[in-house]
Amino acid sequence: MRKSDEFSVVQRQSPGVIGVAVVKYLQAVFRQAIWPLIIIFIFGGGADSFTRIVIAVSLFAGLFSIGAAVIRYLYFYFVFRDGQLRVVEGLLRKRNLSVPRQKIQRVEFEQNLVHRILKVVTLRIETAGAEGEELEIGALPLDKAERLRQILLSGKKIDSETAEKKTAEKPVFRLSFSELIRASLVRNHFRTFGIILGFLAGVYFQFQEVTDVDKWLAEWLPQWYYSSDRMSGFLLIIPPVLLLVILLTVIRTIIQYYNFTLWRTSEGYRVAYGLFSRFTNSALNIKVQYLRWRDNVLMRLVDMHGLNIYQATSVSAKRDQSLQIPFCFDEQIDLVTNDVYPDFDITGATTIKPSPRYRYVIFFRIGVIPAIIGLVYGYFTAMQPWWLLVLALWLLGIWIYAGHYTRTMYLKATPDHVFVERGILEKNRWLLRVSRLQGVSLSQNPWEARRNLSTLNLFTAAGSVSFPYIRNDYAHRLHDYFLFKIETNSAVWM
Amino acid sequence: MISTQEPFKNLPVDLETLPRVDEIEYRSIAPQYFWTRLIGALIRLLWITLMYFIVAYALRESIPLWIRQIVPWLLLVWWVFSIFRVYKTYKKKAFAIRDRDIHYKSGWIWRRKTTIPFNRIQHCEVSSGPLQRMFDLCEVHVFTAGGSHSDLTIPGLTTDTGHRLKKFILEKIGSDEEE
Repeated sequence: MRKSDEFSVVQRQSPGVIGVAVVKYLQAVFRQAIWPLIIIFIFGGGADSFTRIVIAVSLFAGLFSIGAAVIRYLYFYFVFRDGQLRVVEGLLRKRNLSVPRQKIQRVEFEQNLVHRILKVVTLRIETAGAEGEELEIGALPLDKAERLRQILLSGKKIDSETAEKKTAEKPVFRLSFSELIRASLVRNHFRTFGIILGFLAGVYFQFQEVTDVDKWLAEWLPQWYYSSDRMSGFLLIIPPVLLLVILLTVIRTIIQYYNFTLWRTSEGYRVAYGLFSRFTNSALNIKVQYLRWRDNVLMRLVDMHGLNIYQATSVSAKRDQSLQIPFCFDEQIDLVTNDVYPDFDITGATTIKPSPRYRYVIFFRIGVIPAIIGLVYGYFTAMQPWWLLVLALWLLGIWIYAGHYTRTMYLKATPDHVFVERGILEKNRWLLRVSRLQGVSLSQNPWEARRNLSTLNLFTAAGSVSFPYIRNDYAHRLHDYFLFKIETNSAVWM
Repeated sequence: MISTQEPFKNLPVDLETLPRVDEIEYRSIAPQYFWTRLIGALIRLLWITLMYFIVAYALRESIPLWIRQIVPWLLLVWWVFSIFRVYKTYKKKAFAIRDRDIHYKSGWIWRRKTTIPFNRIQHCEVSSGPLQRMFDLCEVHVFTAGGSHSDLTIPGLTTDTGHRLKKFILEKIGSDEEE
């Protein structure tokens, strides 16, 4: 049997899938049961009954999951034949699925600790079809999974070439540990703070029933609130909380993105990251719809950007349609843009800027509306006059911000590409190829209509990019030109 | 003042020779569409008005008099506005078909013109609700790979026009694929 034909015979997953499934199931059970168990342990009738409950739960869950996993393993077959991947699974509910290779959008590997011990990976195969057509092969040995991915993703015939292609994959960027620490310091700490609050709320609700935490809070909170040094108590608690939040963000980032590596493959890119569970994700250059990279004030301090490679995928997988490179440097952005859009050249591009009136829109949205709310709030809570000063300063700040925002945003059109940059605190940049667009629309709100302005919306198969307050004649010309480019382009677009 | 912008000097096509979006001749949709929308709006308005009067009657003790005096006038204004809006939005809806693309515009206060090239259309379908069927109307949905934002729905077509449009689009898609 030739090596390339190995998937044309009907096969099962690696028996390791039983282990993977059992662990997954037990994890789910214990995640649900952990809090009740802890509470029973602390407040229940001593260690004896606790042990009995734990043993009973584990035994039941264990037996059930092993049985289910073995059945799933025995009734799962897959085969790759005549350009189609076929999967037959299920004992009671049978599922028979064929996916032509052309429809396969992405193949992802998941490898967590259990996978690594069993030396297998889980394969997730995403298709361009309707919802519910995603495939998952629970466990395959890594080398076999790699071969299957090569076969599924290569547009060519299966031949020995595909096996060699793997060697064409080379790492182009690896986030070092110190870079990772740097990156984690500039992440969104508010999110960590939210997670902590959520965790505390969870603990509170779990304990509310069995303890008198409510009573304790009811006594303590007013005591603190009416005490003379409430402000200093508040200030005192800020530094440790801040420190905790930053520390947790760093830990979270390290766990999530440890050893983040970007590979250039023969047809696109692949990333892998994670400390305990290793995630991998890939993008094919041919399916890329647009690139977007961004940085905020903090990220600019360490010269880092976040890059998203958006590619065409099925509707059901919208949330996961981009290959994310959360931290990288200019070098990597240049590398990817050059690879995906080798002919992109910004020199000589036509620059379009929004009408200065766009300033009023921003000013109104984030300046005036919050100020009105603040005014109403101040009125009803009988605020001191200094409140008015705060609001006035706010309006002034937003006015300057809005002006700067409007002046710095632009769209650049080259013969084949569109590049958009906007934002001050968080700068966003989009780059796309005109011939890949799905459609174009012009929209006008009443203010735009009165001033002969339009918003240009460009639709791709992975989301849309828009640019507001363009002079009508420019917007119409761009519209006409983009349509001309789409309609005269017969190349594969997806 | 509008900010400085340069013309397209570097593009390899003569922009002046391209078909222009502002010269497209749009076809308005069937007049019956106005009536279906009007009936729909009237049913909604009647329902809301009825609900208001039931609530106002039930709570007549606790609602201040001035509110009970002002709300009927507001409702009246709403009736007039809604009916006017139905008329205006009906008037603004129009579509156009060129050799290579399909256009649809809509919106009275917030306006939008969308263009989908035939070589990007994935599939297309005709649908009609009971009220629309009573007026011999249907709508044509055009789907692209761009998801709901770039999908197009042209309402208020007569059943005959709708089906002919669908057939035309499907033929266009087919011929595109053969190219």
